[in-house]
Amino acid sequence: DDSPVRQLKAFLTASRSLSADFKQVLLNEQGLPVKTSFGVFYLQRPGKFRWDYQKPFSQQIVADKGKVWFYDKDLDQVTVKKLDQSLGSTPALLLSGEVSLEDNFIIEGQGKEGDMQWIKLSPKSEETTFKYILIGLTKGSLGGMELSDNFGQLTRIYFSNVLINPPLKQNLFQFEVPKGADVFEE
Amino acid sequence: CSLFTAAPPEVSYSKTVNQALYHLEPWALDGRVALTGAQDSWTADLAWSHRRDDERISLSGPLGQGAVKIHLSGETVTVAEGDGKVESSDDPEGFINQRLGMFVPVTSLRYWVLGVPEPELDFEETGKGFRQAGWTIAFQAMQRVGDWLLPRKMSVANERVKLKLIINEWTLHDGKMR
Repeated sequence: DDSPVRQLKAFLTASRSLSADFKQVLLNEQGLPVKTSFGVFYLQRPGKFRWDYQKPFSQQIVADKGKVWFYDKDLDQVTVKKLDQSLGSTPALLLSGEVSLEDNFIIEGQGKEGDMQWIKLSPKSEETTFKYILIGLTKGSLGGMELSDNFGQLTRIYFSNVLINPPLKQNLFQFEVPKGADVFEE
Repeated sequence: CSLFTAAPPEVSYSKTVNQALYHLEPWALDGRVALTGAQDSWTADLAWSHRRDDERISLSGPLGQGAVKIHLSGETVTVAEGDGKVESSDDPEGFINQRLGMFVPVTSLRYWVLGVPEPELDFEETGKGFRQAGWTIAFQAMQRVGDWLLPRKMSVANERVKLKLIINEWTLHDGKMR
């Protein structure tokens, strides 16, 4: 069938925009789930994405115009940083099409798990904060993502209700600083 | 028992310092921290477990990025960044200052997170907390955990650094005390 790498590329080029619900599970070094959160993920190529964590806490990570806004509601904190092209900052960057895959990753198919085809992207550069990213495609659409950190902890993200090329309101990617929040800009 | 915020959100810091908190052993907290200095700011998930003279603090950023584990025991600190990258020092606060790029009074914080001033150092009560060693410590919300009243939202600041802390869960003694 179509090679995993081509499937991934086909998916990335076909989806100009995307929205999906997600469940994120942090697995500790022993593989035990220690933290689970839920939210919605939006993507608008090129360069715009938004992680909207809704439960158990409200946090948002919004990227647009080469910057990333990170907001934590309970902490009343907004941090604005440059979107680090070298992927050091956030792996979601690769989905947003800002970065060419081949230049930055070694890409290998990781086989099928049920109807999820896993594709492994290992960063070519040393100083990223993650060892690899796995992207899961189901029926050619985004199904899951997995990142391992340097301690062997895994962040696994399961996507559902995935819409390809939905119309997205542009204010989704314009971060409004809430009243009373402390703001720090790099 | 159920976790609930004690009294109204604008709980004023209790005037009488609960001496028993100095003997609370062991304890662990799970929460989030925002640390802001002149040049940098970041937000991380925080897990801190304390056993007599032994602090284990782990921090990790969004999507589990940039995880760091700090082990403070007596006068030695060890900072691990994964992949076998481990460094130690016998100047804990100096070393952490150099790693994080900001001075964080960790040895004092071990008391402040419980809502009490560091012993043997004088302090000055304020409406929402106290001032000690050049820092202003304020408790915006407290929570009842078993028979204890412990912080839920607090800040620690001086002119250069501001640390904000949300404590989602306290674990006291062995059992999970919600």
